Formats: sequence, C-alpha cells, structure tokens
Amino acid sequence: MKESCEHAAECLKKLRLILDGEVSEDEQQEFLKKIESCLPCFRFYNLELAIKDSLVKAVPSKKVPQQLIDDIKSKINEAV
Amino acid sequence: MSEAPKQSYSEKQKVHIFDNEFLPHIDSMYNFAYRLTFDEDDAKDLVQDTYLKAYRFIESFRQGTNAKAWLFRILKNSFINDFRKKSKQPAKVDYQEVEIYYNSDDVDESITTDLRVETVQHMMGDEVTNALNALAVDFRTVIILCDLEGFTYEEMAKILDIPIGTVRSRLHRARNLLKDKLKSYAESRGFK
Repeated sequence: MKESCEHAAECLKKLRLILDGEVSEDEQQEFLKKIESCLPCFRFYNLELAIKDSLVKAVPSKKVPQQLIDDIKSKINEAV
Repeated sequence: MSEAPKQSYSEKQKVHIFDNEFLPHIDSMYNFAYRLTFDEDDAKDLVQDTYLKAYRFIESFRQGTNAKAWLFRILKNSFINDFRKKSKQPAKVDYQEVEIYYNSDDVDESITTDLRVETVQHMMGDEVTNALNALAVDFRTVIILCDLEGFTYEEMAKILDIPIGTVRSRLHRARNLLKDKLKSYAESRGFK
C-alpha cells in the first residue's frame, strides 16, 4: 500500500463527490479500487465518511410545534 | 430556480398542494430555519413567512415537481432579504474566514491529515454541532443542505442561485473548515 499520495488534494475532492453520490457508479468503483492501495486516500475516505455520519447523528432535529402549523393554516384560511 | 410557467389552480387544488406537497416538509424547513437563526422564535417566524409566501405564489409552483427544494429556496431568500435586515443582527459571518477561503485557490491544498476516525466517532454530539454552528452562514448552509437534508448539488445550485461549480467548491471549503474546527475541539479535549 502506498504511504503517500502525490494527488492527495485532487483525491480528496473526488472522494467527497463520491460520498455525496455525485459521480457515476463506474467512476466510483474505479476510485474505490484505487484507494485500496493508497493509505492516505483510504484514511481520508474513512475520515470523511465518519464526519458525514457524525453530522447526521449529532445534529439534533426538532419537530415543528403543532401550534405553528395551526397558525399558518389559520392565516391562509383568513386570506382565502 | 428557473421560474416555471405560471400555473392555474382552483382554490381546492391550492389547498390540496399545500397540504400534500408543502406541509410534509415543514419539519425540515423548521430545522433549516433554526440552524440558520439559532433561535426558536425566529425559526417559527421564518417558517411561517415562507409558507405564507409559498401559498401566495403557489401558481409559480408546478404540481408534482420538487416542492422541498422550492420551499427551501423561498426560506433561504426570506432569511437573506427579510430576516437578517429586520432583526438587524450582524450577519454571523467571520469575514476574515470568508475572505481567505473565497479568494484563495491554494487553500484547498492545506489538508487536515491528523484527525482520526476514532476521534470523530468519540466526539460528543454537542461538539460536532458547535463545530458546524461556528461556520460562517454560507458554509454552514451548504453542509446542512448536503449532509443533513440530502439535496443533490444540482438542487443546491437552484436553492442557492449559484452555479453548480460554486456549490462544489463552497462545499469543499466548508468541509475543510469543519474539519479544522473538529480538530481544534479534539485537541482541546486532549485527543490526538
């Protein structure tokens, strides 16, 4: 496995596109195969994935108060 | 977002679209508003304002198309055009940060390499949330839209009225900044 990557900056951009689902399946497979033999890119990939996952898990989601829905509907009914 | 040709709906159709295509996204809208304003009352005002505008301009929306992106765009515009002016809040922007990251092409080359996967996985939710909230609003917004709301780059370009290439580069820079902030949190807690 390669210990350094001469294209690290470009690879980082590419793997973010992959994690965002913005490249074709073929490109994705090709890149994932490549990073299996490149340690820095393999680490980057896993780190980016962990950050993405941590955001989804950590950032709380709130439920909208029912009163707000009722207020919006009532204002619309007044306007109709 | 390119304006669709104006539609013509009966009152019954309008209510149907509102209830079945707009309202199902209200939790996402509320969360987006809260993540922009950091205040529950402001978030409520922003969501209410967005939904009233959506109803008023419902004939610009084509039934069955991407209601969520359409609503997010209205909310984002309301936040920029009305809310920030009305609240007279200083825009929560670190201008130095923005300037550096918007104006330099070289900045992408500085890559944080010494943050470990295990460190990120062990971080408390608050630390991740704080790192996200500490980003300037433009950077925070692209991460919210992409990672928390799952919009595609094309949808984000339409919501934000920017070219898709700008979405790509802004997101890339936002993630570099987020990673730096996570690294600072990790260091302050003694993680390697």
